[in-house]
Amino acid sequence: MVTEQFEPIVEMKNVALAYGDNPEVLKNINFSFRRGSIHFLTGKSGAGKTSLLSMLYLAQRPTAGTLKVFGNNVAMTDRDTLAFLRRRIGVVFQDFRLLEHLSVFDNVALPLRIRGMKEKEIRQRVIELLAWVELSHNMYVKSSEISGGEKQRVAIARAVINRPELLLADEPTGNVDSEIALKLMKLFAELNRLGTTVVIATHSNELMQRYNYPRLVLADGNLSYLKDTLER
Amino acid sequence: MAVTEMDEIKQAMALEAKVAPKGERPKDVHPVSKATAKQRAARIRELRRQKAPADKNQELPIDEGYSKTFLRVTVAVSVFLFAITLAGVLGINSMFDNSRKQVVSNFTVQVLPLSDASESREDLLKIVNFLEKYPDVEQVTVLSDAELKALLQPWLGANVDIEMLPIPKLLDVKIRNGKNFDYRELTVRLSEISAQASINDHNLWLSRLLKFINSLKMLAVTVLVLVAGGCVASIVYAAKTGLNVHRDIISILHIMGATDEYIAVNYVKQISQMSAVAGIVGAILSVPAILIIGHMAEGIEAGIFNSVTFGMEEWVMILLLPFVSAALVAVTAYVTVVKTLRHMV
Ligand SMILES: Nc1ncnc2c1ncn2[C@@H]1O[C@H](COP(=O)(O)OP(=O)(O)OP(=O)(O)O)[C@@H](O)[C@H]1O
Ligand SMILES: [Mg+2]
Repeated sequence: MVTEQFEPIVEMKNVALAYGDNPEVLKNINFSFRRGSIHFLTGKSGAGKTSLLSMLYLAQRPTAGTLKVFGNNVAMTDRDTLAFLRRRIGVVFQDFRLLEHLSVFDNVALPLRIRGMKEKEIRQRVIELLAWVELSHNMYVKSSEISGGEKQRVAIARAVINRPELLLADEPTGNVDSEIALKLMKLFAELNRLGTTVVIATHSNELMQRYNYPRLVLADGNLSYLKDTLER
Repeated sequence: MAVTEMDEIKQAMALEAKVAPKGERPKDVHPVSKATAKQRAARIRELRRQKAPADKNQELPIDEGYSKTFLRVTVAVSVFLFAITLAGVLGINSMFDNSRKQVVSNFTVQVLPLSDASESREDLLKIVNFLEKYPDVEQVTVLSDAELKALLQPWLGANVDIEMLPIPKLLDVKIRNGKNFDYRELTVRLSEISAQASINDHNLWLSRLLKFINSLKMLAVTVLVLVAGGCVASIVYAAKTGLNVHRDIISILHIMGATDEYIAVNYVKQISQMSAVAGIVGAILSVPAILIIGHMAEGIEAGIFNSVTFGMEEWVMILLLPFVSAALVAVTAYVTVVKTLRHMV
């Protein structure tokens, strides 16, 4: 089990990312996320947090360098294999990105349906999780018709329903009051304790001060590592 | 298998334990709720009893509105045109099969007399010899004077000596392969033998009609191909625009781990269901149209042709069209979607 502890779940070597012909948003990034780790990813608005995460959830390929996710070199992996790798990743988008035309239930069920799980089992799991995040009352309401905070909880439920190995949360507490924010943070902490590797992008100093997780800071396209919030 | 209340409570508690193992769990570990496991179990039990609305195949929505209506109308019109054209082809086939069997196994040649009787006889002999050697000719019978007389009597009266009149001789020619017999060729060859001989008009006309009907059938096939092509083009267009409009949804599905195939199947299910319905409407509308056209055709056909026999088989073929078209739609949409998705995240 010791070897598994140090198994890198994501490896970045000299990774860079540019959009089109624009200058690189991310430059020469070298970092590995170890299985079971939890990190904050921080930096000013526009620093490239979302861009970095989008490479990790395999929506963007690095324009330079090598990115390995679950040991697979992303540049050499075919479309279908990428799809199967993505099923092991849970994503909470900064802007939720729910399927607005579907109900809360169907949004949360989506990752399970994509996996081809039986409808009966899906129902069981989704109902449990929705009860747990207190969304049962709006289970069959269209997700375009619920509040921002509720959307955030749907987004989180959708990200964790699959029990992902890697959870990438982009400003997961940006749209809820501080009370809910702290509760969501506790959920992430618990998932991490159960073995999920977690990366939380945020620029909330309050959050980072409260949870003394190692921090990755993006500035001018470079990534630096702060082991401890208090070192700053 | 009965699920007891106790099971439900255990399940709910197990779920909490999964997220927060006993002992380690802080008191307010639940992200938003302070409800007890028992209360939650009751809630879950109640929720399971509710029926879920079934919209699980609509992950990639085909928008209501212009493009959906356009597609429905295109499919309905295509099936309608397809049905009518197919009915036309089948109708002509059955009509022509009947008349061909009957008329084409024999024809008559008439030979006009020359001024000199012995030359006339020689000419007739030459023609008979030629015809008897002609491919596919089974038998050549010269109608006897007595027979001719009998034929002509109603017009000429009983006392006329037929030998004295420049009456044409008639030859009855039996042929073996009536279907493919080339009357035009025979006409040309016959005119080289004798200027006096001519093939009975009726058969020649029929042979020309055959050719005309064959080109009509070719035209029908062209129409069918064009209609199908138009239908395919609209589906490609609809699928491409649909996918472009829903780029964001597709990107979410991909990030959740959907393969291109999953998305394509999801889309194809919807679009082929929709086009099956539109196709059924088109096929149903074609039925009265076919009946009306068939009724009109009955007027023309009287005398020359037997009848348009339009049986069970033909109707089944026409009523299967919506499903054939739905299959065409499905294949087209699937290929288009998979091809288009390859260029998306
Ligand atoms: N799809 C895109 N096309 C072109 N440029 C982009 C795209 N997405 C992001 N960028 C640019 O990349 C840079 C980094 O953006 P990114 O969204 O990664 O920042 P961020 O750190 O997540 O910001 P925020 O804290 O505001 O969410 C910005 O300058 C942005 O304009
Ligand atoms: Mg961002």
